[in-house]
Amino acid sequence: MHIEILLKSIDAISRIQRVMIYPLIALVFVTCADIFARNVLGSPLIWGFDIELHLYASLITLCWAYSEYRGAHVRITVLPEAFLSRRGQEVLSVITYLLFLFPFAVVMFIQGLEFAWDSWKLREISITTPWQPIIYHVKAMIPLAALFLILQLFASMLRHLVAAIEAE
Amino acid sequence: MSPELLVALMLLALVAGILSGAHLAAVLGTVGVVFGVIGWGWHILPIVATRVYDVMTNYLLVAVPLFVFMGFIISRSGLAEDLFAGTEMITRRLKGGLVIATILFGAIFAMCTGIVAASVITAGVLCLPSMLSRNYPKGVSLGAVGAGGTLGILIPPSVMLIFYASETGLSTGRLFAAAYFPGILLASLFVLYVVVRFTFFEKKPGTSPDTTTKPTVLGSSGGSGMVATTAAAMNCGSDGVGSRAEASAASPEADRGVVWRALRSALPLFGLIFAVVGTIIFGIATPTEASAAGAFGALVIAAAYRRLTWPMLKASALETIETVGMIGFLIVGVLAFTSAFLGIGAKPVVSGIILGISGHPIVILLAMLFILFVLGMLLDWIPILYITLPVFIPIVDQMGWDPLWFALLVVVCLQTSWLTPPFGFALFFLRGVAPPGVTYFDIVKGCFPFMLCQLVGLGILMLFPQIILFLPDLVMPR
Repeated sequence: MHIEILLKSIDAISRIQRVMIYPLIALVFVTCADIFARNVLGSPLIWGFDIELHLYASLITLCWAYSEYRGAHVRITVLPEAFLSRRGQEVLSVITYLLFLFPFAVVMFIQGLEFAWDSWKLREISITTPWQPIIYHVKAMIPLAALFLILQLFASMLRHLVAAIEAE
Repeated sequence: MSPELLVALMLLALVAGILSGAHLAAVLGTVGVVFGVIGWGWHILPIVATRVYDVMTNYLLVAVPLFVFMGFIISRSGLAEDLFAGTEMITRRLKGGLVIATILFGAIFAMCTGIVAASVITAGVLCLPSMLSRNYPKGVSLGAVGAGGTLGILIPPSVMLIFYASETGLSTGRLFAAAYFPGILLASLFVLYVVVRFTFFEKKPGTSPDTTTKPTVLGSSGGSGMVATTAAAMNCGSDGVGSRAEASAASPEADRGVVWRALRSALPLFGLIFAVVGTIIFGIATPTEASAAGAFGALVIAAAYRRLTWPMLKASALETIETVGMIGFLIVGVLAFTSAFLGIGAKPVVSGIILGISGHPIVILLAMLFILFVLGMLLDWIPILYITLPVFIPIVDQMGWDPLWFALLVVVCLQTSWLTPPFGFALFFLRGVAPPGVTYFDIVKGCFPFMLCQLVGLGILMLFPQIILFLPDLVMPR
């Protein structure tokens, strides 16, 4: 079935986000290297603070879709499970995706795109540290994360829809 | 529309969305965006992106993924079985000893990992079967697992306190120092409750633990087999639980052996945790530095125990990014909500209600804690902090209260949010690990007395602020 291929491809895209474990591990080692440089070698890494911040920023945004793929986002399904049939639950899930998840993710994508594009046009740099790193790639993570999330939300919603149709 | 009506409608929409089973983050976000546009106009929308960017550049919060990572590494480092065997050995001559052992295990494990989900699930798979097989009452066994595990979010290093610090500008070090005695107080109250209950009210077989049989989970092959499979199924907590499941003979030497082994696996981790927290409290390291060093130290300890393998590291990291993605999306959602909530004028409305009941400080304080308690029934602690603090902190300033004292009252009050139905997250974790035949209602009922203990603890902390302020004033005088 075509829809299966589509869902599998979206899952594959979300699974690629498992690479986010490398920024996490890098964050541990960069921060430790920074501590070592400051306290043992006597001068902090000039790029330490900014790299730590950028790695953290990527973690806090780009993992949204992976969490959705893993079903890790906080949602409370006690009531629908108690009062609705299997099909009712699945239909309600589809409605919540349309009513709550897509609107917010789409707003975030559009606003994030505008925000990042303004920064990208200027080739914006940060002047809070002497290293003065570029930051437009950090801002670009917002629409990118929203885009990945929208894709995975689409896959989750289709699954609920299929389950609703197939439910007894 | 008047601000009062808008605020009421906004909260109503939030509750309806949560009950429908939609993702909490998205409900918060969408309700925020919609009401922001109604109350403010379209120019509120760019705030969604700019507030996300504020979070992305908040250096204090870099510690959050690092502490979560440290916790997941520790929970896979083989601490759990030895630690439970040790606490069990120490408490087994007490009435209700196994329940007390579970609470102590939960509190210590929670302190080391700081992750409530991991603590409750690990305690659930490790301690529950041995309590139930010894005919301990179902309710108190479930409650002990839930109550002990939730202490992880209070006892430092605590991610909740880092969020509190980043929202209010209080010192993380002082918050950490202030949280120790409240954490110990709550754990003592839990233990006290169990002792009183088993001394005076309990007539069941669990009353006098059979001191001739040896460590329960570790001894019974059926039990440990179940532990291992459930742990694998939950994809969380200790790998290979029961791998050291050799039953030892009942002798004082063997007793000492169990305690010694517990110490041997726990002491290096205690050292690590106290080093991490200590450097923050004494201002030697920033929370970010301490958490990175802590994660690194946890890797070293795991390596020393020969637990550090690439699959183990990868699994810990994957669990971390899953959790961090969840936290990140939740923050983004709640920030959109709070921006709109404050934008439509909720602050004067809510503080008007709080201050309007009666001018008495006690009433004002109780009103705020009551709001936290009620929100705790519905929401996760991250949204609660982000929504309430902007409203509460000005009131605290106005009343001239010690912000540190208030902070600890807030986080202790939010401890109840894990155990209060309908939506206490520790209840859900427990439901995931409870044996078949245990209903959601059993769990709610079992956790209820422990939730009352938390409220008693809250009352004690209100009456005796020194319990909170003693340690921070001692180590870092103002």
